[in-house]
Amino acid sequence: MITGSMKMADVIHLDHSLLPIINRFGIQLGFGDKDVEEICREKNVNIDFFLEILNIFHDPNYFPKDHLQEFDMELILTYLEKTHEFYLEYEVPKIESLINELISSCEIRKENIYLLRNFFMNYKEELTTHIKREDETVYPYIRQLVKEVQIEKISESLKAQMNEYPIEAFAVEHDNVEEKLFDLKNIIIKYLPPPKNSNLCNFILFRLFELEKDLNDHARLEDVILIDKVKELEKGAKELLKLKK
Amino acid sequence: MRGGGIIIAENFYLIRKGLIALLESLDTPLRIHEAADWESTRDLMVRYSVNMIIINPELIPDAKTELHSLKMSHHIITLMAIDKGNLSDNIKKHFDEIISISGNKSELITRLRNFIGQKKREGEKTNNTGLSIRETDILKLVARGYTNQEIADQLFISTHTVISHRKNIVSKLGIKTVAGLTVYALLNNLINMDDAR
Repeated sequence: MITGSMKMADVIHLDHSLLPIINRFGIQLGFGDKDVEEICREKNVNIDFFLEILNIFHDPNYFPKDHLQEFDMELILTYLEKTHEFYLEYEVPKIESLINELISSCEIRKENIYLLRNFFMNYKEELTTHIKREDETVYPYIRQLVKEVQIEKISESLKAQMNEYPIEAFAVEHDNVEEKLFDLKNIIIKYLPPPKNSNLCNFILFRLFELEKDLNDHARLEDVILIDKVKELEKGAKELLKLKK
Repeated sequence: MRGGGIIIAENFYLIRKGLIALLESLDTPLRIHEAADWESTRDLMVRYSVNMIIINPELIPDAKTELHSLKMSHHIITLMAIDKGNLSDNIKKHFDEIISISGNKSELITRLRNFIGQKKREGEKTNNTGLSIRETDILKLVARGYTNQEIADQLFISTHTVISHRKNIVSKLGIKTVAGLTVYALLNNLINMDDAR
């Protein structure tokens, strides 16, 4: 378990794959000897939430559902948006450029890598559409829901959206994107004839593994925590509408 | 066959970890995977080559049908049930072995040792990517974008049979999506570029 009294540098020594997650909270390298608590205080980061996010990423068997559900919605949404930004603006374009590099390093059988790139571009497009819809439609809906339930005044537009496209409908759409990434990995591991530059190919594969792990954790936060919280709010909003009648 | 994988599927953390500790003490070459529910068990089966499963049957929704179809499609997998004292004979008969959690250490060890020492039945080779001729035919059609109904019509079989072949293809190749299967078929020259729309 990662705790507040650990030195931040030790956290990275323990599990360096946590670095991108830590960055999402606005915390950058150059930790000196400061412990997690100090850094969180300095950067104005909610340490409870920070530690839970690090621990669920670090230990796949750890998922304190009840505790996570108690966190403020805005905290969760902001974190999820930051991870979106990381995928679309950094990780996915990076993998794309590595695949391009792989193509230019190949002299024969280029067409195999083109197949791989097509598949990846397809995946990228799906992931982008999915994320854009969350950023532009789903999250704003949730924020409006939080606000209106709080002031106990449900607007017509919210009511319409709640009836037409409740969070339940969004929940079922998650799977296909994950499956594509899984296939992409297996195609490289099992079926792609080994390209000349195998180091580059390994590197691409490592990044795909990292991306997959990150996405899985992200999806788990959404599927288990976010959706349950929103369902509660929708229930609350419906009660309010009934009272008004 | 050396190695291979074993899944421990049990929702109680302590029981799961206990079984894993016992297995590890037997110094087995098997790769141990763990799952706390049925969904992740299925997922592990697709991801890794698994030849044994130790599972709490209560995790399986509609256990009778699931176990039956598991036996049909994965005859290479041997199954052990975790018995907490409440398993009916109806369920037990689907398993090759039963382990009772109330057993003492030496009983548990003996059971586990017998179980992992079991040889697979003769003549059933684990050829992970070896698709049958029928499966290859179906894969070609899937990769060319045909629906289950169209494939069924073309090969004069039921859609049910098509679906069951497709499940086997997915678990043999480790590729789940149609787009992925298309890439596989192209890489292996089962279809050519013009076929893949």
